[in-house]
Amino acid sequence: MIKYIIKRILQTIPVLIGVSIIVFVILRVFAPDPAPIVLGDHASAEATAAWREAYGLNEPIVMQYLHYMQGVLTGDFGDSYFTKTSVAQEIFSRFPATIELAVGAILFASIFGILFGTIAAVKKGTWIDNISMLFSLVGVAMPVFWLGLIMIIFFSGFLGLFPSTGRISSPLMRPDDITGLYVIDSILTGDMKALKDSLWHLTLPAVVLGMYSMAIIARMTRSSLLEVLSQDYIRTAKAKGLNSKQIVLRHGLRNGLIPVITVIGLQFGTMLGGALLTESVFSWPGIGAYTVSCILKSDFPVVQGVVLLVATIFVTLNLLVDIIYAVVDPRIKYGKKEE
Amino acid sequence: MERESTLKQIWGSLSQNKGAMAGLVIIVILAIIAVIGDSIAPYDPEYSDMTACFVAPCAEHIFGTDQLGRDIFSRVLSGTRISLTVGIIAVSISLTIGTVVGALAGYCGGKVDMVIMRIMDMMLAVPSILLAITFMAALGKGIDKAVIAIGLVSIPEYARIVRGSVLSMKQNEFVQAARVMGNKDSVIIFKHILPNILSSIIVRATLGISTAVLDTAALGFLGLGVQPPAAEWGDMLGRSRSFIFNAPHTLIFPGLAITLTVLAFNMLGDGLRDALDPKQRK
Amino acid sequence: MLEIKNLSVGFQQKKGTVNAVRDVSFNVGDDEIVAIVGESGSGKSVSSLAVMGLLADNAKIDGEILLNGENLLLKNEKEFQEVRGNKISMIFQEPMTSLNPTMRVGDQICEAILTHEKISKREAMGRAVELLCSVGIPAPDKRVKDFPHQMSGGMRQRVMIAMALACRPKILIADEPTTALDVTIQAQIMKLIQDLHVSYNMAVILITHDLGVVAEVADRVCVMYCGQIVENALVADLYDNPKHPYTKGLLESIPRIDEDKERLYMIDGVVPSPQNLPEGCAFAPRCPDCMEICKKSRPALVESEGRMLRCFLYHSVCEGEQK
Repeated sequence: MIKYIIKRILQTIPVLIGVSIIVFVILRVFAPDPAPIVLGDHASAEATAAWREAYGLNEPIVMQYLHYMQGVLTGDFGDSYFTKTSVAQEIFSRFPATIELAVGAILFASIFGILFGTIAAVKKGTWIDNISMLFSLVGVAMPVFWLGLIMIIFFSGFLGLFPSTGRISSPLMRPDDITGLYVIDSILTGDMKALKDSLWHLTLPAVVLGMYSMAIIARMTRSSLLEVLSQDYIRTAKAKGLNSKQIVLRHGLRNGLIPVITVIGLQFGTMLGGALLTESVFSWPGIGAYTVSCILKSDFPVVQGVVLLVATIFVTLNLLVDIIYAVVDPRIKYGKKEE
Repeated sequence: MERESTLKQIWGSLSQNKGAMAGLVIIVILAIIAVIGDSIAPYDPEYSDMTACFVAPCAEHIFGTDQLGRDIFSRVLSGTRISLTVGIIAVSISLTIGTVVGALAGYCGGKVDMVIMRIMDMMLAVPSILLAITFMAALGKGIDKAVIAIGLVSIPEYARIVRGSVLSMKQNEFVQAARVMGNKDSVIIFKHILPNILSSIIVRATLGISTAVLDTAALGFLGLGVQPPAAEWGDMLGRSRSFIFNAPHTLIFPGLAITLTVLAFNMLGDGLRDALDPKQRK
Repeated sequence: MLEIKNLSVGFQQKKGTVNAVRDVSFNVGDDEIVAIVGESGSGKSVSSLAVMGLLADNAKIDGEILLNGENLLLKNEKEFQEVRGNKISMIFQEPMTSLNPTMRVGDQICEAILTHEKISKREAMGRAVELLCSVGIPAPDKRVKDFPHQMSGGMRQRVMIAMALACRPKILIADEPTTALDVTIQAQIMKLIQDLHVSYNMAVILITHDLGVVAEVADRVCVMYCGQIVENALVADLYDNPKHPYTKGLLESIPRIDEDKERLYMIDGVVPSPQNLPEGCAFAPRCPDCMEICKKSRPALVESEGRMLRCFLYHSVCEGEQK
């Protein structure tokens, strides 16, 4: 098992290096020169040259890349063209907000997705099943930004139940910074007011971002559970005298959720993409909205940093999913399968 | 003869599926709108009447008007053509490149396979919408560039499907027989292998159109898609979002159009999957 | 102790109701091994699943299933759960797929115990080890921690048996328990069932299509054809002197080492589909002794010389006697 994990970790390294090369080539070779955008159209030739020199853009592309990677290994992702501060700082000041949003969304999606999927499977063929599945079809089809806007119109505008922007009502309410996740920080510091307020702000964006994944998870849970419930060992469980609740919970979900775990892991990765849009809609101060603005103004060092970070998370998640898979399904023996 | 009866069989099973038929009907209607939309539109979708901004839905403007006094109904109709065209072209790009690359990887195996699939892994390691806007950063704004970006980011999905199928087809006896008979590799791929994996590609492509429509709308929403005054659903949403509380109708209809289109292609795709390869049903 | 009276099972389907079991009656005594023999589709498995209350929702069940005088069919789902795995247990044909792949076998056995008895998990695990020991699994204290995929088919069937015995049931239903196993293992498992029948003092209903197995193990045999019992007799009587033409056919089609036959006997024709039963006796179209009456009306199950028979050949005899 440990051997397998080490092997998988080693396998992810070339993928990440590859991602860095691809993004580097796209942004430094194919993208239009950022200088006029950063310095303005009327910048003098000398100023442009000095700027290029300062950011190392005059070197051959290979050297640029090697320098960049050298920095990356020491945690230096370069400086933003605009704010002139380090990219690492820019990203990490905003990253906790995105993580909080994505975790909130995946929790919402997993809990309700598994719940709806299970109910639909148990009540297969009834109106409850039909409605759940129709709901999940629509959930997959709605663009996340539109859903966000509609939710704002309805819950913030019409009903006035939830706020439509930001993470917290006022900067003064911010809990002490420990993890950067307001919900966690306010629990750690016992600040109930901040906890309530940050959860209140988190609800709408998390539901919006999680809706698509919830629909996917519900469909997956339903089909997986239906397949499991038709297995012989479910009949054995019935023959033991278990009631249907015990059968679904102990035997059905235990086996039926194994494929769902993969889906949840993958969905968490896609959420980092969906966060781009959700954050713009809710003015959520995370990396998603920030990245969009950086792309629009050609702040490429930041974009490179974000893509690398997201890819790292994505690859790590896949690895985690595989490991969890091996733990929950005793039939998988990785040592053998890999050879 | 045989082909005809298989087609009949597929149609038979597809026409039993209510969802798929509903999807198909919607797609046909959308296609008709895409072709004749401009001639049935009550107004010029780009004509702006600044004296009639934010008119709520009424008899003259059934979907109301937007911030520049343009008729939303006409713009939604006009957007149909853009979305469907973008969807189809983007899918054609990823389908063509993905199939060729995947078939090469599967058929050649060895180093070719490894290099191609590693590159695909790298592309899959970044969420597709993030990758698409990164491409957009290089290509610049515009709907034509959006099509290319969306097409490029879905290549790995097709490559994976095709590679997997080619690998399993390669083991098949009739392919081995074709090889023994001295057929050229390209002949084997195009004449023997591809027709047999056509069904999974068709299913993937149908579902792929809905992804492409969603991604186009997302890029449009972020302001990276069509340039004004052209009407594109995502762009319409992006430009009217500042007025959500004053004029919610400007948001409702373009979003409904996206949802309906995506829903239709998803339902048809699911139905096709069930009809074409029952084994794959999940 | 277990009396089955006029049991009929129909499955409602789109095209109409399919009658899988028609008017089946038989008793199982306290320390008997009763074999139910028949081809696939004869209704033997459906009858046993009806006794366990494990039939699908679209099954329509008529008649009575009396366990010590209590009609199981009148029980609600919750009451029935207390019978299942406690008073009546069942083992199935496919040991490979009948165990939960993600649960340790010890836990699966404990689950059966804990469902019906209020004891601690620890005590239950101790019982599980004893049970594995009694079904002949070596190193049971280690094997309780195994997952099913770590065991062979024969071992898994032993685990299934251990699980079925967990609450010392009065009746064990074994549905083709050896069909999926190797021949050598088959004999071991049958021997085990026979031994446990004695040591656990429980009745066994053995469902099989293999008359050869029955001869060695069972006390009494019910032969089923097209959802009905056609002959119900003591094993010795049945083998020495089969009466129903179908039973005769079945016995003649068993290959025997001591007889040097040119070729194996085969019953002509095919089993009619349950949607399309003949007007008269269900076996009439294939019967070598078919009479006119057999094609027109259906024979009843009547007693004749200590056995039950459903055949006009013997009807006339007993009717004559009665007159």
